[in-house]
Amino acid sequence: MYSGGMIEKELVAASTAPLILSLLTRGESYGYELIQEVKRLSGDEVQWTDGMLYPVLHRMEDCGWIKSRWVKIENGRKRKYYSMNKEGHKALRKKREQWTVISSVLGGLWKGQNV
Amino acid sequence: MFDLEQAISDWRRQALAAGIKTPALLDELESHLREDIRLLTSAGKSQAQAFQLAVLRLGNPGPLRTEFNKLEHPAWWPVTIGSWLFVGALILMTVLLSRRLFAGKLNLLLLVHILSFTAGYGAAFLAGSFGIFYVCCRLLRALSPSRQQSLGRAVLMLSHLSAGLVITGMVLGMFWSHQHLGRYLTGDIREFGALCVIIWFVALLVMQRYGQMSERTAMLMCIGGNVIVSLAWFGAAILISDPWTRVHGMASYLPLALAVFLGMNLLFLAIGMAPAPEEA
Repeated sequence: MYSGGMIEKELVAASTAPLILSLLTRGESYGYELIQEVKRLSGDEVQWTDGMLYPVLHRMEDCGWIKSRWVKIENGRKRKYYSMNKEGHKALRKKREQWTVISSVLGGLWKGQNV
Repeated sequence: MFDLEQAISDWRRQALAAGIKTPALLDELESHLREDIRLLTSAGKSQAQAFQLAVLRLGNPGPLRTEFNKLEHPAWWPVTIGSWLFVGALILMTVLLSRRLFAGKLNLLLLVHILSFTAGYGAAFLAGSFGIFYVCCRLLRALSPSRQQSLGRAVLMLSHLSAGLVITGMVLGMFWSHQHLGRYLTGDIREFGALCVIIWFVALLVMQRYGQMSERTAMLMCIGGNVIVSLAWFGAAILISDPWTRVHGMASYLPLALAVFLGMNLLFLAIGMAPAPEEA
């Protein structure tokens, strides 16, 4: 689901679910807004191929982490909003612990090193 | 002159042809595309440029389909149970009719004609039942994408099956009629009913084929199919006092049963047409 950007695609792939879950803790959002927000927060370093975000969102919904609803916007058109479920909060806690461990291990290893 | 609506409609058709067949998913991708186009045009791009760029960013339908295919799930258990019950009923009916064939009470053409019609109408009823199930799950907010996908797949397959079998049954009936009555069409109200069923399901399939129909519309059309098939089958039989309606005193309660069935389906149709609780 990942293209371009400075960060390697494997790392972007692994971080997609925690990124989406973390963004959704701020409130419900829709695919396009999530992409824009990730671009903005990462200074364009993390870039998702737009369409490829949706299979990930659907997979997360199937896992029961997030839920969705269609909301009518202007011109009678609809937009699909995603929000967190209880299971999503649990999954995010778990992912946060894992990423924190990785981050602190790397931080420790690189401390004082001129990498 | 660039026509944005036409371009989006063409893009939707291409995505459908590339294998992204779920209407809800197409709606979501279209919503994304429109969002991007809106942002790009407000940044000064022309509609044509914005459309091309937005399509490029969204990605090719082929790789997208591959990603979505990874999400394919086995059929939801209510769909599996419904399908097996349908197959079981068909096998039972084939066995019963075959016994009449071997006893010389029925010829082969008529047997296949009856089987085709019964299976075609049965498939339509099953699609309608799944439509009602969809409406109930939507009301209770119990529709996950995998459940939606499973019901959508089943309804589409049953609509194809129903249209195909009713057309087959009608053609065989015309041959039988020509052999025994000297003409292909008799003007029987059942022929008119079958024609209505064919038109209804062919319209559903054509709309689905050209990507102009949401998942909910397909489900509601299948509930509408229940109304049309019940009128074509049981309504017509009541009107012409078909001999089978007099078996076991059915003639006395069949009109009431039909009225209750129609009322129930119209009620589900109305519930399904109303916005879902979260959309209201």
